[in-house]
Formats: sequence, structure tokens, C-alpha cells
Amino acid sequence: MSDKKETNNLKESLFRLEKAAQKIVSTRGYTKEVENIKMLNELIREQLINENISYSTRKIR
Amino acid sequence: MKILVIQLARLGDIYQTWPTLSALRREYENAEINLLVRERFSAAASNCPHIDKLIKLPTSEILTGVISYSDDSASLKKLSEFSQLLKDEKYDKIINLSFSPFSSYLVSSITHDQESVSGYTRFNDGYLCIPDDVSAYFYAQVGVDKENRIHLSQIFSGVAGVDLLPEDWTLDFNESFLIEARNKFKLDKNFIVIQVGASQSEKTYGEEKWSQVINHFRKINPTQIVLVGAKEETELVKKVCMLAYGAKIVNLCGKTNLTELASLVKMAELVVAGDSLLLHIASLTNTKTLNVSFSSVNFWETGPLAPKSRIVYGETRYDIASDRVATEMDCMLGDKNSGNVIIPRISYGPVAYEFLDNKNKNFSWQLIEAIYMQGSYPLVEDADIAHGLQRLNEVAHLALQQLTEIDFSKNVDIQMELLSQVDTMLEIIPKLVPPLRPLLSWFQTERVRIGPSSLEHVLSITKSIFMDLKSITDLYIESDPLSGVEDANANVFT
Repeated sequence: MSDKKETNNLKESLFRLEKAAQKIVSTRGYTKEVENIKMLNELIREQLINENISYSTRKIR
Repeated sequence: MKILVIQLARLGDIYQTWPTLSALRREYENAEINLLVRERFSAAASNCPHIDKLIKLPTSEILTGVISYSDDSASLKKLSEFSQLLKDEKYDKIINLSFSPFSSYLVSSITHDQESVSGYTRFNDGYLCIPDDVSAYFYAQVGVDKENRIHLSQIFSGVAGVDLLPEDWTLDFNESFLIEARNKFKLDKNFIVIQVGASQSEKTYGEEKWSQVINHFRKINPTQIVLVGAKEETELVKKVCMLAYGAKIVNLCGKTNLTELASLVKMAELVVAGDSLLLHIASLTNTKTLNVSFSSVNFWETGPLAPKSRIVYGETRYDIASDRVATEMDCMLGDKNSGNVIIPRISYGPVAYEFLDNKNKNFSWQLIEAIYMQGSYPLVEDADIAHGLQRLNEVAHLALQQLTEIDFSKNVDIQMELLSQVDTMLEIIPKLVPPLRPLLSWFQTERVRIGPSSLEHVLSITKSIFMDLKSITDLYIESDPLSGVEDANANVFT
């Protein structure tokens, strides 16, 4: 799979997960499930920049 | 006792975590110390003698579902399994040195007892929780565009709650490994290691500049030069070799693993590099280092710590002449002063370097020292800063008035509108008066630290933070009878 395709998949997943988290929060509040989704979301976000050698990690807060 | 240290940044940060791990081992002699790192960067911790177990975050495995099949649930399941494994370890102490959102969620998901956590985590409503003052300092003051001068190694140890000693910077090899490496790479008895690349292009000196440095250096010193770097830097290094044709260069770029690279640093007479991994290895091997640094990085945070190290600094790479770097290299090999302006490393302490020009001890850093380290509040010599402090004082006064008068049993629209304007002003003032940013960063961070609680409690803490802001700005208001601050700092205008 090309890097571009992988990156697109990650970005699309970010969008889906954000929507899913919003939906759960609006109906059931902040749950363990939301925490897990948010965690994956941030892992993807960091993956898009951290493990790319062109970027530094500490910019992320 | 079981301790988990989380370091999910890259290679350099992992090496900068070693001293803290060493100090933790000294402090908790019988504890089991586990270190969590990203799988990709785990080589930087694989031979760390201070840990009992190295845990690798299996990023690729977790993300396979998302990347290959757009299957979020598979990735969620893997991530959940991994965090459960960590949770089952029932750590007595979790030290998060990553300062990232992901790590904060991870810590929150594996924590049994909030009291045992230092470093970023999450409140039970999902908001960022910064439990310790050192992490709050990081949140507020650390970064390239900020004025922090505390070295990252010391910040890590502060979050972990341990004091560092010089012997915590250690990376040893057995003699036979070093001899083997020297023979394998055909190295002279004396050599210099240079890393020409860096993780970010703005951190590098550039191939032309490096080749000029080598060409200048070869005219004044015959010491062998070893060029190292990652595989990605191979072309860059080839170009340097081509431009410095005829120089005594051994090109090992992409040809060493991390352990071999560290062994070269250990044996080298001198390491020369921009802000890169090599600096942090050299700090551990106590190899003196010449750091070529620009404003795109904050050398105070990540500069070299080995004794006798120096920094050649310029706003940009174009401000540092290549012959100056070559001269400095030659002088450092002979333990001589070049007479040029350099920034010397002075200690392993929190502030590791000293500007020879004291004028550079600027207002913002003194403000940080005053807020966090009980230093004296700096004198104001600039009208803009004086006006900014005056406005801040007024804004804090207005906020305190509204917070005192607020009564949620009545209509609070007016107070809420005024408080919203206060927030706007607090965003605008540091933009207009940048030297005041540390004060506002501290203030906003303290507000971020307020956890979920009753409205009364949140109001009470918010008021107390505004009162602190007012007390600080009162110091700068010449005739404020209500300042309540009585000390020699009361009039700090010049």
C-alpha cells in the first residue's frame, strides 16, 4: 500500500472516530469507550507527524 | 514497588530520559522500573542499564486495522488490549514524560490511583489533567518559541521527582566492543564525529556549510573526520563528501546501528552537530561537543551537557561562518579558547549554559525565574511592558470584581459578558507585548489545571488565580494602596 493511501486511510479514520466520539458524548457523556476512541484518535494524529522523520514530537501538547 | 516511565517521543528524548532513569534506580533501589517507548525508537533504550523491562508501544500492530482495511474497530480492540495489559501490571507509580495527548489518554486508561501519576493524564470528564507543577511548567513555558532555559533532562527528572547527579549521565561500553568498532570502521586513534543532518531541515547547517567547515578544518588540523547519520541522510552526506573532496573523511552515514553509533561517540575526541540525537548520546558518554545552533531550536532545552561542550549560535545558519566553526573545533581539540563568542556549557544543572553577554538575560526569563523559582521580579525598562502590566492589572481587577459579585440565582448575563471580555483581553495582551507571555502562559495553565468540580469550587479557584495575577502585576503599579505586597520589589520601575 502506498504511503499516500495509508495517510488517507489514517485521515479518514480520524474523521470517523471524531464523529463517533461526539455522538457518544452527546448521548451518554464521557465514557470508557470515548476515552478509547480519543486515545486511538490521538495515536493516529501523532502517527501522521511523529513517526515521520521530518517532524519533531515535542510540538504536540 | 512497580514504576512505569512513559517516553513516547523520539530517539533524542529517550536518551535524555536516561539520567532520570538512573536517578530513579538510585532512589528506588528495589523497585521494578519499566520503560514504555514507541517500537520504532526502542533501540535507544535497548541497552539502558537502569530499567528492568522495556515495553514497546506496538503502533504498527494497533494501526494495521485502520491503515490496511479502514477497520477502526480492529484498531480500537488492539489498543484496548494493550492498555489493559498495562493496567493489569498495577503500577504503583506512573511517570509520563511524553507531554502528548495520546500519552495523557493512555495514562488515564491504565491508572488505578490518580495520586500515583506524574505527567499529563486526563480528568474523569476527558479534559487534560496536569497534576504536578513541573509538567505545568512544561505546558506553559517549554518550546522553541518560548523563553524556557531549563534543560529537558532536568524537566524530566523534575516530573519524576528525583534529583540528578553528574554520574547519572553515563553510557558505558566494554573495551573489546570499542576496539572491534574502531577496527571495523578503520578509525584513527583520534577522530571527530560530525552529524550533518538533523530531524528537521531548519535544524541543519546545510551541506555546503558543512563541507566548507571540513575544508577549513583540514587546513589547520589533521584529525580524522567521521560523518554519521541516518539512512535518510545518505545523499546529503555524499554531497558533503563530494564538496570536501580530498579531506580525511570516513563516511559512515547509514552504516552503523545505534549501539555502534554510540560507541563511535564514546571514542571520539569531539562531536560536532546541530540539534540532533548525537548531542544526547554525547552527553551520556561525556564526549565534549560543539553544537551548531540556530533560533529554530532552543539550545537551553536540548543542548549538549558533556563537560567542556560549547555552542556556536546564530539566528540562522547564514549567521554562522564556516571558518568560525572550524576554528572552534580546532580550539576544542586543544582545550583552547578561540576568542570568538560562544555559549559555554557550565553545568549539568537546570540552566546548563551561560551567555557571555549578560544583557541577554532578558525580561521574560527573569519573569519565569520570579514566577516559578522565587527569583526577583525583573525591572521594567520598556514602556510597552509597563503598559501591558498596567492593562493586566486592570483586567485582573475587573475579573475579580465580577467573580465576587456573581450570583447564579440571579441573572448573570452582564457578568458573563464582562468575563468573556476579560478572556479576550488576556489573549490579546501577550500578542501585543510578547515579553509578558510567560506570565500569561503561567496564568492560563493554572486555569487549565482546574479539575471538574462544583461551580462554587471552580469559581473560588479561578478567583484565587486572578488574585495571584493581580498580586504580581501590583508589584509594577507604582501607587496601588491595595496591592498588599510588601517587599523591596514593590517599586520595580526604573
